[in-house]
Amino acid sequence: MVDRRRLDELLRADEGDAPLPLPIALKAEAERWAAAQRLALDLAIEDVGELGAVAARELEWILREALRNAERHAHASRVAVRLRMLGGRAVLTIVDDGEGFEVPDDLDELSRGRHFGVTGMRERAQLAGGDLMVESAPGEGCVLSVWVPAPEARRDAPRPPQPPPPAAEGSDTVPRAVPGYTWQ
Amino acid sequence: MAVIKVLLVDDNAIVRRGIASLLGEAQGIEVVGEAADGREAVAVARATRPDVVCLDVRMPVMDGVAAAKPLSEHAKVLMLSYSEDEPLVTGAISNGASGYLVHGRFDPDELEQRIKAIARGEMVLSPAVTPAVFDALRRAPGPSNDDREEGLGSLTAREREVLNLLARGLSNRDIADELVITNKTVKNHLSRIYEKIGVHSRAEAIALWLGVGGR
Repeated sequence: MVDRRRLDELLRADEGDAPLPLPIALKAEAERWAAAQRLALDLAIEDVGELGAVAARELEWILREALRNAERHAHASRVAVRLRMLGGRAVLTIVDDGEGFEVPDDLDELSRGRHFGVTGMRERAQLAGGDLMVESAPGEGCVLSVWVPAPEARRDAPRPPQPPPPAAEGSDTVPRAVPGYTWQ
Repeated sequence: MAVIKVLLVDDNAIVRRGIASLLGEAQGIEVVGEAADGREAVAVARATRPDVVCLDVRMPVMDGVAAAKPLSEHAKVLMLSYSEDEPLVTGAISNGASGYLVHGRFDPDELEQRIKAIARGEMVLSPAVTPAVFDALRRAPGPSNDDREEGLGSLTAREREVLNLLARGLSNRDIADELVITNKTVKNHLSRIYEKIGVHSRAEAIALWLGVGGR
């Protein structure tokens, strides 16, 4: 059996050579962490393709930090990690079932509390051209999510279907048909 | 077609007898039991296994709206009532009733036809209660039709407004202030939006919305 520290070293050495594709790196990071902390882990990692070195590095860093927060501050027992491609952006979502906390209107205020990590994570996300948000409330766990733009080439890929034009005034009040009803 | 077994539920014995005699002349319909309240109806239904339950709305012990739920699991439920009140109509339909007829608005032949239609799997409404159903549908979508609403196209004008503000990076408080609603209402809008467009977080919602050029 490979010692965890040895595995860390191997993975770190690997980073020095050619970086692992992001989905694999994130999966490895989360699994290694969950095994070490003996926590339940739900993974839903999509292949988001090449993101560029900065974005990939920052997402990995943010995941690591988020997992550390979930363990140290939130005392979570279950964590879900999700990576998706949406609207030409790679989106990483980390959900924990821990203690949660009151989210201030200005995320930067978190730096004054014990959730100082969030400020740093947000800076990293913005450095990569994206942004990071926190949704939480005391007793309700925490959803931390971050998006970073995919390289231009990938944004030319087929887009999701356009939404219909904005509903005309009041048209959202039109009732839906109730199939099967006999309107006498 | 096999004989349709009908259970009559009404707290008024005279009404029950009246309906029973109406149906006594109908071909292909047999009244297999009667009950005076919802709880008794559930017990009698278990014993008699009717195809259709004609169910009064206002009854003691357990009313028809509440009884429609357990009864509709094993039989078709046709509400028969004097009331046209919207909460009763929509409540009964939400609880699984297949039809709602208003007393005095149908003649004997019609009741027989309606019961046969219900037994075939159709749904029937008296014209008197259709406005109540329309009114209910015209208001904000309720939990009963959540599962029919999915995708960007199902977003209401209000939900699009919320998404636009979200994508501009506003906090829940800022969105609440902008739309003059409470923080809690913003959170409710967000959970509905997430569910409709199939996302799990704020960043996913924003990415999707920005990606389709949402404005």
